[in-house]
Amino acid sequence: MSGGVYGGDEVGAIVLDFGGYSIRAGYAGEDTPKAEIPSSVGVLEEAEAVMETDEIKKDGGRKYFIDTNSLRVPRKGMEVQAFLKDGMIDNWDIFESVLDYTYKRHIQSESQEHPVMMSEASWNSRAKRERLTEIMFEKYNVPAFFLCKNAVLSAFANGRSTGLVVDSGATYTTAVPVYDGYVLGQAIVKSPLAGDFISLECRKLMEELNIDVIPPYMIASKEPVNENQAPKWKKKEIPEVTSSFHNYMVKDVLQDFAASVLQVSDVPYEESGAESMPCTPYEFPNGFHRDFAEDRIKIPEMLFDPSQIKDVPSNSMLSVGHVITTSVGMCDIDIRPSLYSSLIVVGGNSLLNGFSDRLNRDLSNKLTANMRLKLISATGTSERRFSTWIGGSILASLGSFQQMWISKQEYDEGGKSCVEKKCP
Amino acid sequence: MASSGCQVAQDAKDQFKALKERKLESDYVVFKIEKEKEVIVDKIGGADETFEDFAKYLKNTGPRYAVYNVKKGNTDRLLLVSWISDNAKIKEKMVYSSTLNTLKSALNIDCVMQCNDEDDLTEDAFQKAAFK
Repeated sequence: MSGGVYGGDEVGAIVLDFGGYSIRAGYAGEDTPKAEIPSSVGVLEEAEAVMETDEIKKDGGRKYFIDTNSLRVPRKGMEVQAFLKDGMIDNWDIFESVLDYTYKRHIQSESQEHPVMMSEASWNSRAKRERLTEIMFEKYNVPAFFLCKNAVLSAFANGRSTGLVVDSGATYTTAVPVYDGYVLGQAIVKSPLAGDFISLECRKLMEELNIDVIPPYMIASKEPVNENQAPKWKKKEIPEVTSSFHNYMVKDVLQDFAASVLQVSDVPYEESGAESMPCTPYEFPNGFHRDFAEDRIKIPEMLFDPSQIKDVPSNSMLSVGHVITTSVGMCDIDIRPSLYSSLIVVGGNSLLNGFSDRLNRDLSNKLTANMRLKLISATGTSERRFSTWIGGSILASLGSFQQMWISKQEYDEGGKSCVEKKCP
Repeated sequence: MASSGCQVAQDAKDQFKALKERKLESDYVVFKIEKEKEVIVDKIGGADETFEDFAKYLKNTGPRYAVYNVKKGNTDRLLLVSWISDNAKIKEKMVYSSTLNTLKSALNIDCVMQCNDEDDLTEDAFQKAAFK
């Protein structure tokens, strides 16, 4: 083997994993990403002279506020915007600004010195892949680049080259069949019943219960109160914020609520059984606190039984189990057993208490007895949330991987279409 | 596709060929990845070894590949097995699973079985996979 096609492996590669909630960035070979940056940024059109320093990109008067600390400062007129749509890069201007920021603040090195391994949605379009390749080589001058479908990285990281990757993330719950290391694109199934949906349902619940969710940015001080008592808190002096900003901050509180309070029932929900559910207390940022009982299981139940969703025709959305059976059903009958026996569960929303157990139960009931079912999910939170990144990190750090990269030379000779050939 | 880029050593191909042409007094060859770079022969089964000996060997090692000559009645068939325990380190899982397809192509073998669990290492499971 030659000493590396792109000209030496002494400089570490950078691994970037894009998700609907956050972007994970770091050096290949490390165990966890160096940074996790929100996939949403603050956008201020025609900003006046703001007394801020870096983290901002000027672009015809428009400014971007990137990363947790900068994004969460209340600013008059700042909208919060995501740059991914349907899991794919949609706003390239914001994407590049986030990348600039990542190099400057987290990688702290020049882009032309490091090969880049990037994950992508398994359904990414050819046009977007080629555009991304072009930007990485032309604008960032990377010495080498590789684009890998996130489902493949998750499967490999779990010791499988064949399996069904069930990813319940922020925007979607998806089932992606991987066979011999290739994604079977025609059998990908997506459902919007995922993390953002849960947050939305939590918000509806709070409205029903007349709980005003006050995010921390509004709170100057609070006093302890008794359970169910009106909160005593003082409002901070803050500029007039946009509703997209406020909603983003409220969602953050609701995500914490979901992670700490919600519980997926082991068996399909029935009102009677739910009443005996043990209560869990939750304290909101403004000091209000109360116990939650049956609502703890009612909300996540909708992931498994869409008929529980109010105001939505029950047949219009696929439950998590149904996403899986539909996807497998579209695959060749010969490979179905190997998909069911390697069902890889990943994504932040799958960390809801009881998620895997319930899924296992629902699927066991649907499958015939001779179909072997095995759910695989990393036990550690970080391994499950970062499995794609970790997979990319390991792959890109292998000496043998040097020949797999699209080198700058190959790009110069073959143009952007080489991504289809080297990273199908 | 995404693959580790590991290559298959000539000796590994030769031993596989010998097994296929029944020139080995053995039912199996075990392979491993050397230095995250190359698939090499790890072990060739002894003439009088049973399936249990083979399974026991795998259970007590790290991830491996193996080609096993599975017998059923008067017929036999070669089965390529990837043994990557769910308890293996994530790096080993990644390296072995992303090299399987390279090995499959190099040996030109279609009959493949993924084993990730000790329960998969049974003669019965091998027969099902080989004669499905």
